[in-house]
Formats: sequence, structure tokens, C-alpha cells
Amino acid sequence: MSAQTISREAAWDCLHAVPDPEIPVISVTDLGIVRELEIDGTHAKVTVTPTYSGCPATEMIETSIKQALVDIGFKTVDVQMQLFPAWTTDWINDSTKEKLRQYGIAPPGQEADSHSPGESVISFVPYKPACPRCGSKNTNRLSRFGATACKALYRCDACLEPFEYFKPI
Amino acid sequence: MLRNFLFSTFQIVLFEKLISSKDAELSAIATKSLKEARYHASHSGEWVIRLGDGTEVSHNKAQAALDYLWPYTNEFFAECPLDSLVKEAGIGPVWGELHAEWEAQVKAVLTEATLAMPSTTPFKSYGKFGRHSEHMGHMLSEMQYLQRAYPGGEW
Repeated sequence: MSAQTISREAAWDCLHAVPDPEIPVISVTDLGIVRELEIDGTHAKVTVTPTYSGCPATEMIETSIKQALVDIGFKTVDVQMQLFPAWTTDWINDSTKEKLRQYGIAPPGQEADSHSPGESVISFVPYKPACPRCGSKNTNRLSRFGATACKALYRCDACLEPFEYFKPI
Repeated sequence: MLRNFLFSTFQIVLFEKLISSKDAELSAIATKSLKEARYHASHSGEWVIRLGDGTEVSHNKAQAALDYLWPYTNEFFAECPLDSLVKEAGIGPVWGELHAEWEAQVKAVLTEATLAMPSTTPFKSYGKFGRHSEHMGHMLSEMQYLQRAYPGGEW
């Protein structure tokens, strides 16, 4: 493909295909982290909002986006990190949540944190997401931190399978 | 767990103030980090209550950890020469002014955990001003061991 003919559409299609390195069934656009795309000839500027602070995937996502756009003909790609507005799991749409569930990860089932200043953070009542395998809500939290900081570890007491829950943030 | 609780509670109090910072980047980081700090404080705070209000052994261990760590919390609120400049410029709060709010939040959890809040000691630490105690040298030599033993090593 010659450089002059790269359309916005092709560039977006390309971004839709860049997988999240940790959860390859969803793309960076599914996660809602790609905020803007500007194209100037053979130069592309992509604005990305990082997910969790210190998420080890962030750097890899930046590299994958650059590589994918260079592969379809861009000469230079600039990836800008935009911190505000902060990313929230509320930006993950329903079809992506379904993809997560099919992959074995219970999608965020609550709205993101909305404490008011000074409000106690202690609850002792963990949210019970539906098991991504059997659908039962008879589930228990085993650990607030799973294989990655963005997930918590649960067990389904109906089918006895362990699973991870994508925390709302 | 106690350390995480004392520190993430401090982060909550600080980030709530930094959200209204005139520095756009600092405000953005605080907005985002506050949600994560709350999760950490919730996690560690619930454990502090479980351990403190648990068995005799867990209670004593939690109290010992609290007594050991408490003097270091002075440093969060230590007066810093930059504080007034930062506050005047609307960038952030004077950390000393966060003490009452932090103590109130910590006390609520410690009370539920049946742990006694230690009394204030004259101990001062100055790590945040770059003046470290003798522990720093030992820590650095431990952390730099590999690079010093195998200069240029990569893996």
C-alpha cells in the first residue's frame, strides 16, 4: 500500500486489530484506551490513555500500536499518553465484556469507584460476579489481587472452577 | 499489611487534595491514582481489622507491627521548606495540614481492629529530604550487589 492512500478508516481498522498483550481476545480499541487518531500524510499521531498505573502492558501497547501503523505504511508514528480524563472500566462496552467472559474472565460488573471524600473504604462484603463459565452468582473472592493487578481471584462455588474478575476502576 | 494501610490512607488524603491542583498533570495523576489507593486501603484496612480483631497471636503481631512503624509516619507530615511555595502556587497542600484527616481515618480502622493507637514519639526521620539513616547504605549495597559483582550484566 502506498503511503498516500492510507485512509483514516484503514488506520482505525489497523488499531482495532492491535491486541491487548495480556488479554489477546480484546483489542486496544475494545478497552477504550485509544482516544484520538490524527493523520498528516505519512505521519500518525495516536492519543492513548493508560489503564492502571504501573501496568506492565502499557509500554508494550505503545510499541504494538507503532509497529501496526508502520506496517500499513506510515513513516512516523507518535504515541501520546493522555492522563485526563482517567481511564475507567466503564469505557469497556458490552460486546467487549462478552469477549472477556468467553475468555474466562468475569467482566467488571459494577460501576467504577465513586467514593466521596472521607467515606470509609472498608466494606467486608465482596461483590459477587457471575461465574464466566457456568453463570452462577454463588461465587467467592479468594484474593483481591489476581495474576495481574487489574484482576481479583474468585472461585465459583457451583462449578468449583477458579476464575478472575476484572476489577472496576 | 500495616505499612500498606498507613501509607495508602495517607495517599487517599493527599490525592484528594491534589485533584484540585493547578498543575494539570498532577491533578490528572491524582484523579487516577485515588481510585487505586482506595482499593489498596480497602484491602489492607480490612486485613488490619481481621488481624487486630482476630486471635491473640494475630492481635499481638499486628500491634507490634503498628508500634514499630508508627514513628516513621511522622515523616509524612514533616515540615518541608517547599510546602508554603507549593501551596501559594495552588499546586498542592501543606502536608502537615493533612495530619488530622489522616489520623481520623486511621483511628477509625484501628478502633475497629481493637488496636491501640501508639503515642507520638520524638523520633524524626528525614528521608524525604534526602537525609537517610544508616539503613540506606545497607539497602543500597544489597540492591546494587548484582550490578557491582557483574558489571554490565544483562538478562
